[in-house]
Amino acid sequence: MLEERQSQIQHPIWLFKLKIQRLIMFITSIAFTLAVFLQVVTRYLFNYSLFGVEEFASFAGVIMYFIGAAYATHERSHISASLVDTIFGEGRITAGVHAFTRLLAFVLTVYILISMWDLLVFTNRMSTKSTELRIPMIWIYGTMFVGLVLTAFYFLLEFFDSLRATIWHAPSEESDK
Amino acid sequence: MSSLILMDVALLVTLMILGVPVAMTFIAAAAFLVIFGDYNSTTFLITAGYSKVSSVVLLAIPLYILAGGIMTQGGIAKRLLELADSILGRYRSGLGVVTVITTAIFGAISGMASSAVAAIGSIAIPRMVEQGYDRGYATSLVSCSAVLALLIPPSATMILYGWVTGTSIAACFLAPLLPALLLIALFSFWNMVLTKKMDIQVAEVQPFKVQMKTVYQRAREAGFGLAMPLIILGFIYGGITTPTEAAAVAVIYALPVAFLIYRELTFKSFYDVVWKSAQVTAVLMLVIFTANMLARVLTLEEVPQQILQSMLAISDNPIVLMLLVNVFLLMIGMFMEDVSGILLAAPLLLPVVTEAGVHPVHFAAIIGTNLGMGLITPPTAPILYFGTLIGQTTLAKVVKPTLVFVFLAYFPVVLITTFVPELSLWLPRLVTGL
Amino acid sequence: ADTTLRLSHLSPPDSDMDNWAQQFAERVAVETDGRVDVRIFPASQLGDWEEVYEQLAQGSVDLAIQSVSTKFDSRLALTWFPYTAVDYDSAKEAWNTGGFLFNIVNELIEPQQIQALAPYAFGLGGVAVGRPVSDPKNPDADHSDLKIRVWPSGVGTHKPLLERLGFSTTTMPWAELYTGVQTGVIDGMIGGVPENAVRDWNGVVDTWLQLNDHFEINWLLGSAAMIANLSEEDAAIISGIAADLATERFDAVEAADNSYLQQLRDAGVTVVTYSKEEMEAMAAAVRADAWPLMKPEVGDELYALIQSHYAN
Ligand code: NA
Ligand code: NA
Repeated sequence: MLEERQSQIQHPIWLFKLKIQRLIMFITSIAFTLAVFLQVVTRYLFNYSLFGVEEFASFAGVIMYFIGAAYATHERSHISASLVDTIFGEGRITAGVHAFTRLLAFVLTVYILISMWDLLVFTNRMSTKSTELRIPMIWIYGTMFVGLVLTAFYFLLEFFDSLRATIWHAPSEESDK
Repeated sequence: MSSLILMDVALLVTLMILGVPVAMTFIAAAAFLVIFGDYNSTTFLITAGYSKVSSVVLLAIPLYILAGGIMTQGGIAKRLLELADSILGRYRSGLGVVTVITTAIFGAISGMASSAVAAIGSIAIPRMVEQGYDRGYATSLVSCSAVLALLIPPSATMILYGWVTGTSIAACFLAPLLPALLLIALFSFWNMVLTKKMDIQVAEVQPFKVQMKTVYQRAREAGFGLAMPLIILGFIYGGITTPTEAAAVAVIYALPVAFLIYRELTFKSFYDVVWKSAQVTAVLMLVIFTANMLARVLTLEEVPQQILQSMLAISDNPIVLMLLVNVFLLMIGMFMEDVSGILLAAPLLLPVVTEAGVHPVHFAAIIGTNLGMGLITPPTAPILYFGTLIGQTTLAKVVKPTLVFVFLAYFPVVLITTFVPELSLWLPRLVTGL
Repeated sequence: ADTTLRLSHLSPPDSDMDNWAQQFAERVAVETDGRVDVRIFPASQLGDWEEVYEQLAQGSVDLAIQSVSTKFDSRLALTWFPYTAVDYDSAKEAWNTGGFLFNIVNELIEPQQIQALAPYAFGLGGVAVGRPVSDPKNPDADHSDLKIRVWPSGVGTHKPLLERLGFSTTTMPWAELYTGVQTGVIDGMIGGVPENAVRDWNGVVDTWLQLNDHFEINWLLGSAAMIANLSEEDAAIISGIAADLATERFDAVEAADNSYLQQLRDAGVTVVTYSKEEMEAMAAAVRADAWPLMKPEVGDELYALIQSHYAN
């Protein structure tokens, strides 16, 4: 059912982008796992601590969270607590409400993106650096920005899908239980 | 309470009911207050969210999710279930108890209720149905016991609680453990009662020696999985690592077990487990990111003080205050899952419970049992819904047994946890000195 | 009130810093005839000090009592540069409003749209250790079995300092520190004053080393945007009150430190204090061997300035 609704986005570039997102999620996960583990090994076994490892790990984490959040939006796996689905089941009403909620989610993500943009401008002007590794923070905030732009974009796509389902009332999407 | 705040709450609940993703409802509620309030810049929303999600402490969450994911892919759930089954399987209500206990042990590997439902439910529910258990009942049992994952360490919920309230995570891990044991006992008891009328086929009783041999073999298999929670706890309380670092150790430990010993993990499935775990984390982190924006705006609007004052206006009796806190948590649990609930409720209610003389570590157990219960209580019961997907049944069929578990197991445990502080404080005091 | 200002600080309610903030708010209310209302958010409710510093620069927080961050300018590590002004009188002279170090800091933060209204004297720094420390007064002793946590932005200065004095250094998130010492993952931490040892490390400190490694100076910081919005009269009133309070705190800080040290002793903590000669021996070792390693933090110019003031 999910695949069917997303059938319009099979373009190779599109699939390549998803592939890249998965790769980033994989690499960053491995990176912070190893970083934290390395910290344990050096401190416990060699009585020696590597400074900056924790900052590195947390940056890898942040990149993973925001690229991953965009991917989760593509997969439509956000936490939501809809009672509409439960009460009305699949159909025109649910699809209509769904279209509304995704449009709202898009607008709200854009609201955050505007604040995020202000922060990017500020960070660029001040050339803010991280306190330990002195990494330019524009890179970290920038990745968050990209992740949120993609998130907004996927919400918009889902809005159009739901809108289509509301107008043409796709009946084939019921029985997934 | 100011009318602006009440309107904001109404907005939040309405959007949640409509099905706006929870993370976005928090943005909406924050934006509403910012737009109608006195703010000259909104960038603080981003820094508020960023400062939380960039915390090294919170890396514990993706790490435990990943460790649990690798063990699950490696087939730990099946092996735990088979071990428990070889011990208790021959009793009439045995498989039900096996399921409860397996879920509890699995909870010691996984930090999240949803992964417990998926891992245990997909194996245990068909097996119970095969033995003659009612499908709705089996699904309900798995879903209700899956909540144990957040009460038994490691727990993403407790990590978050410790983090937002500045309480020791090592102590918070231990606080809800005895309440969890109480729940296991009550679940097992009601399982015996509720399965009385079912027509259950039990496997033939094997000679003691043969049974012991099976138990031994399966214990050896499951032992590598069972060792993981022991390693985690040993590393934390033995002073080798912090809870976050213990999670990384757990991931590293899980790899050879899944790759070489259980041989159920391939490089392809490893790649998939990692990015899928990352996706699960990312969904949570987006909620954490935006919940902290809302929490910051609520602080700026001095809402925690307003809540404290309204509650104190009703009564300053500690018992009444704690009952009010429980009602408040019950309402939050009706609409939110545990992660969002913790992030919003903990900072708001901490002043109230402090006023009532409750220790923050005790409150960890109170909030954990309450919001855990919220995962299976309608109207929004994410773990119950997820359970019906895994158990291939409908909500109508799981509601009745779930009500029994909620009213006769969860509810009493919530009250006991609230009013018997020793239940949650004894173990942390013993192990960490508090 | 015509203007409401949000003030963030990092100590809990009823701490010395909170009381200082309350006094500030009260005097501002009285002297501006209620035109300016200062609302206090204690205990880092508006974010940890690194984040609040950024919010000051962006104008989302109006006032804060805390350290200055090095995220925009690493030279601000000057404020905790070890063994500069490390007794109460010279600290007051150097750091109080208009003092020579105060002026340097105020100049450094000006491009960040932040103004230092007044210093807040926190106390003389030391090391909290969860275990006994043998031979603590010998600058050449070997304490490598003790892992002492250095706060993230203090790595450039306090890692060389501790390692010169023979300790092992490590990192750990603030949130995990207390339990970390309790369970023995690490052994102690630097970056606090006796008040922290009493309040934050109560129950895990075995030994407190009153190293006087640096004078812990915090600041009443104001966002430039906030100050620009005030009338000239109110801005002058606020600066005046801040300066008065700063001096009052400088005059009270020694007694505060001593009373906290006594509380530590009463709680059974081994408190190690150093005579003037013993302190000079520690300082001389650090200045000779560790200072050069800290030079990149503050840059050549400031380093030369510090050296000319304190090296001999
Ligand atoms: Na768990
Ligand atoms: Na619920």
